Amino acid sequence: MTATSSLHDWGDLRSSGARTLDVDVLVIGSGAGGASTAATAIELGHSVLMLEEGPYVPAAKAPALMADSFAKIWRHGGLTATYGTPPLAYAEGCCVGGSTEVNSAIFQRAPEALLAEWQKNYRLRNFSAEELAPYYDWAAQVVNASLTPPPLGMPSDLLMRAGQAMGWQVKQLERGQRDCVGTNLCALPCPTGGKQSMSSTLIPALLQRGTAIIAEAKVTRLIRQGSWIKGAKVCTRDADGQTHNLTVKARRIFLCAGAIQTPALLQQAGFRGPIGQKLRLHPTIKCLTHFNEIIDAQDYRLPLVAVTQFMPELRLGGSVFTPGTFGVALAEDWQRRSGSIGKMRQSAIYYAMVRGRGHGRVISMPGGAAPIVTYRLDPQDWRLLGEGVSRLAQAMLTIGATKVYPSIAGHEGWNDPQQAAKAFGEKLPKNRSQLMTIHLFGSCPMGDSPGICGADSFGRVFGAENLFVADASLIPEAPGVNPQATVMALARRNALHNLGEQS
Amino acid sequence: MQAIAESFGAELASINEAAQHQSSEKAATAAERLLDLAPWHLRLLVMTVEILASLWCVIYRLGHAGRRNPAEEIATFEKFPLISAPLLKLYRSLVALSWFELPEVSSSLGLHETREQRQQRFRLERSALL
Repeated sequence: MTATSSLHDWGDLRSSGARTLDVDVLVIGSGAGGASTAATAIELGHSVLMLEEGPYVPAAKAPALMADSFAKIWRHGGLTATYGTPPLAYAEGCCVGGSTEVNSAIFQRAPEALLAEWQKNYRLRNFSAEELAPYYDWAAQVVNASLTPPPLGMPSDLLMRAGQAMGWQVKQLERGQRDCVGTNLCALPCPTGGKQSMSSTLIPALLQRGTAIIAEAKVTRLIRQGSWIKGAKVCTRDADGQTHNLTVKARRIFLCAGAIQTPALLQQAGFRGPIGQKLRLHPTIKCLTHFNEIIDAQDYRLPLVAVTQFMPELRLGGSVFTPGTFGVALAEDWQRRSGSIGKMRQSAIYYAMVRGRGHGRVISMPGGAAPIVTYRLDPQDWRLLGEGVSRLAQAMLTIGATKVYPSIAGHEGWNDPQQAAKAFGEKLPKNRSQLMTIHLFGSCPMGDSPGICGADSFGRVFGAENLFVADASLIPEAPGVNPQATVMALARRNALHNLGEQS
Repeated sequence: MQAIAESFGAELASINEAAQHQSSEKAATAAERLLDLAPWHLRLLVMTVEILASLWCVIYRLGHAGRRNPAEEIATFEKFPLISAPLLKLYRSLVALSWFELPEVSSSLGLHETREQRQQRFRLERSALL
């Protein structure tokens, strides 16, 4: 097996064709949950094998173009969407480091009131904000959660001014960053290593301690014998591109493959009930915004401030802006927006994100084929999205934006704040709204209520003795904040419980 | 895909013909590569819609003979009711993601640095900090 531990040259982390491996702890997935679980297991003295379906892409080899990045490190080239009206585009990282390589590394704790609500509704043990605080602190330390030193750049300044002009609370958000130089390429992934993703933090530490990590290793199914999971069948690809079948036997298995792949693997292994039945997410709608002056949003960090006035139900923030994302925004309604092609340097993209109350399903397919995902928005989601775009547009037009196009096909765009204000309270057109999300959760909710939860209060899958979930699937409902901090904190907490002395 | 990229170029007055042709080819290739990576159910859906829409185009052309430019070709496709609009939107998004970042296009948009040059500049900037 090729899995070197040199910090400076990891090799390619691909399998060289071993047929069977026998390990103590198997971690499936290398994102926020997987890396946190593996790091904790190593600390506790266990031997760990980590499998990652995607490739290893070091910062020095990060693609420069969005399309290349999508092809290389985003699951299915970024072409993933839920079925429903409307379809909702979602994104998942599929590389060493998982979605931490494609997100903006914003670090937010779940709101205390929501934690208390979940504790009660899902009968979660040891789940108060106070009890979770040490695990959040650990996660904050790992990623160096901190405020990015100013200047933050024009897109941030504009959102700050817009929010303040409306009298709203606007805050800078903490991020996992160290000497971020503002490439605005967080999603490609970060080419400098300034973003403190898993491949810049826990994974190098794991390799240094001798943890075996195999990239381009797709788990096709779990090997189950009653309540005991014996291991996993894996399809690997070696450095020459040859595929090999590998069987990994393990005493304890942690599923950390994300809110779509984890329930799909569980369903294939015969775990049903609530698993995959209540997928939650943050429905988000974007607004392409034009100004008279040059913004050069492509040259600055994505907006690191957000309108927090309406959180956790609604957040107004800013998106990564590159020539490619600008092009995609025009392509949403080329007929009406093609005339803006020359306005790239005067444009920025902002969003309204709601704490979704709707839910969807993950339906697994045989042989590890891509699952089908559905999602249906709740009427309250529609109402909040409508209010969100209206508020965002009003704020931007108040500070001098010349046009705001919400992501609604056939929309002529708003030219002045009064026009946008009139839309407040109007329902968004279901068939024409173009929604997306990068936050998915709740497909295997944790808690001591087997009827509504797929795993117990510490992530052990109901009906299995040695199978645990440690990713965003466990978060019972949409938290209204970026989930990475919560995923890391829960993975840490659950690994300590399940692998430590208490286990 | 290439016709879509060419229709982008037609809107950007500052791009020359050679650059437009070159960028269209590259963007179409990149978009097709992304489409190949789509999950099986999406590809199946796209394939079905493509077959239906192609049949529509053939039938439509029988009644409207004559050579067409890319914009007219797309317009014909767009006339296919209900189904062609989402498919075109998907294709346009894929092509746009690539096309707008190509060096020959970004310079026409007023950027003087390619994406690769920019990335390298930041790498040097951060390594100087460490």
